[in-house]
Amino acid sequence: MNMVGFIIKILTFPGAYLHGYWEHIMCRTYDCPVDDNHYFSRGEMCGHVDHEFMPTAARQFLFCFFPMLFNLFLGFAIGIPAVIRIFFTGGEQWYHYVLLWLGISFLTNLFPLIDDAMAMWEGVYGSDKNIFIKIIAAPLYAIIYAGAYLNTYGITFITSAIAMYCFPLMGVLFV
Amino acid sequence: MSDFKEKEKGEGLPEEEQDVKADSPEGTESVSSDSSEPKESKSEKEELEELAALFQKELDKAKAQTEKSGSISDWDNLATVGAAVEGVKAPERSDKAEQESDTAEKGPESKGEAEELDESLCIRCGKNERRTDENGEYVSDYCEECESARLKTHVRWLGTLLFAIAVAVMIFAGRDFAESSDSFKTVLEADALRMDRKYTSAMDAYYLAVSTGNDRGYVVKNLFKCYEKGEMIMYTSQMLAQMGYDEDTLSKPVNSYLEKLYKKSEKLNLTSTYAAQAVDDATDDDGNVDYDAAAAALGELAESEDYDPAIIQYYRYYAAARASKSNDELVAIISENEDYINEYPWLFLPKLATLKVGAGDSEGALEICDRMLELDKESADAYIIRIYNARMNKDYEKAIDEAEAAAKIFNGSEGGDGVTNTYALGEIYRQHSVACLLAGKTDEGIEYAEKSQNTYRSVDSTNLLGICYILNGDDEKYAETQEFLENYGYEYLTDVTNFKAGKTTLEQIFLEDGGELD
Repeated sequence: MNMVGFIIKILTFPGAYLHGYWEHIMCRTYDCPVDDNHYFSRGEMCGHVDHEFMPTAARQFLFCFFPMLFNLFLGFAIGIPAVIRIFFTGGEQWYHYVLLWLGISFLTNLFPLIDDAMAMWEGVYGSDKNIFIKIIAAPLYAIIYAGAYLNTYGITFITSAIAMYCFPLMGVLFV
Repeated sequence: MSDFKEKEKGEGLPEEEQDVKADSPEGTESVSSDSSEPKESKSEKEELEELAALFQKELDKAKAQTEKSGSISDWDNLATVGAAVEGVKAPERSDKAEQESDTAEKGPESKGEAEELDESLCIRCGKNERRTDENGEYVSDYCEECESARLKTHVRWLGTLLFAIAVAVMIFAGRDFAESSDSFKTVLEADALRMDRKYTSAMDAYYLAVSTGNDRGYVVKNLFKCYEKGEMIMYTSQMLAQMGYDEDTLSKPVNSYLEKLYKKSEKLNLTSTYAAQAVDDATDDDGNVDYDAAAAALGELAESEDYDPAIIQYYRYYAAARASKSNDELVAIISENEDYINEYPWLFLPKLATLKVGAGDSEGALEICDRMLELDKESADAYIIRIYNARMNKDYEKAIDEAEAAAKIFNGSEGGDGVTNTYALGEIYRQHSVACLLAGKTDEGIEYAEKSQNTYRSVDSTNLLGICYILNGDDEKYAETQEFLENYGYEYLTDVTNFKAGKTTLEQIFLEDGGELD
């Protein structure tokens, strides 16, 4: 992990720590040995736990997917009310900026390590899985894979800020 | 290692010093005095040799241990060497020394054994042996205890605490969202209308948001995007000033769009002022416009970058229309530059469509109306021209149907679901009334003329009422309407007085020479 990525991790430490927490929960759930349970450490393991690879492709996918899902839900649930106040309706207070920071920190730390993403990818596309499964899984797998790379360089900070701003506007489709 | 070198030099070895002293003259004397004892000197020599051999063994052992541990300090070895030299505990020490020296001699071999021992140990704890299978082959780098421990590493309490805090914050944020949801819904509805090109309704929705205190840049910017699509752009600079957007605020990068719009509005208004003045200057006291003079003056304005050429072009059309130029000439002027039409479609297209109707090009007029509705689904001019077109083609039933359909779109001011546009609704009722009168439906015509007057009072609607009261033979109301006009400095138009005098007919008024009251 380069310096920029690590600085982003520091700036978004709640999301990084919680992502490591979710990964540890997943390891405990799927009986995956964990070597280091420090969620926030210097280096590429910041925001992750040092563990062995999951025994099956399905568990590897769930290991990558569920922490992303939990952080995604929390990020939007906390950040969107702040975005609406600050950018669209007015009447914001100081704590709305704290909520915005929390929401972006959760969204910045969605994705797994590149190694885990590669293992997840290999689990489906490096095996003799059904072509139908490969097609169905392609979008989500591509997102997780790409996100893991972006996460290394801290680019997910930018993408999460953009997503946080644009997501409420999707409500225009439902009014 | 430096200590061993010092030992080699003989320091710390009292026996050796005694031997050195034996070499001195005094030592020589003691030696000579002991010449009668040759066995003792030999034993001393042997002792020295043994001592040297022992020392070498110790040195080899220490080297081997140093290579193994990387340490340069071995005080135990030093003590062993010292005890061996004193000879008091030599037998025991020597045994130990021999064992240790044996070990040192076996250095490379023991190192291998040590490595083998290390490989067999768990890499995590380094104490227990690695887990093996039934055949004794290693199946894991860890012992069973460590494997079990790795599966049950404790989840950090701080993570659980952080999750609990996140849930509490989420609930708090949810409550805040509930409070702001109505206001945000208004903004989203306005956005949906704007994206659907219903700019009049969108403006109303944005106004509603702004009136509740929502002064976010996002709302203001989208409000003025609706302004830009229609005639409201003329009031943009004024509205921005009222909303507190001064020069410094507009100069910020985030307000670049508003600044651009402000400048466009200012330029449009400035051009309109000077162009109108140029046409007035070319008008005589009887109201006749010298088109050539007006065109020349407008041409001078067009040379300056301070004025909008599209607006100047429109005033050329205006001057030509007032100078009673032919329909073809007017069409040529208004459609001279397609770029101008695209920049101000709300200004050029209605005039062009009306001219097309007057020229008998009904299909062309309807195409332009369709184009206007593509740009703005709530374009009142498009619906009004469609009614006008049907009426001019003497298809009065179609005109009435068009008017009824259009009224439903603009009935917001009457509590309907449509757009709130009183001018549009009033004009639609007026067109409906004219169509009814031409179709012989006098009562219905009077009804809609009165609705038009009650919705949006204008000179045209008031004069139409006069026509209706003439048809109905209601002199009292005719007189009341005349009085109403005079209160505002107007009087009945020539067509109305001629109609009352029987000099003209409804068809002549509403189907010839533009089809409007003059």
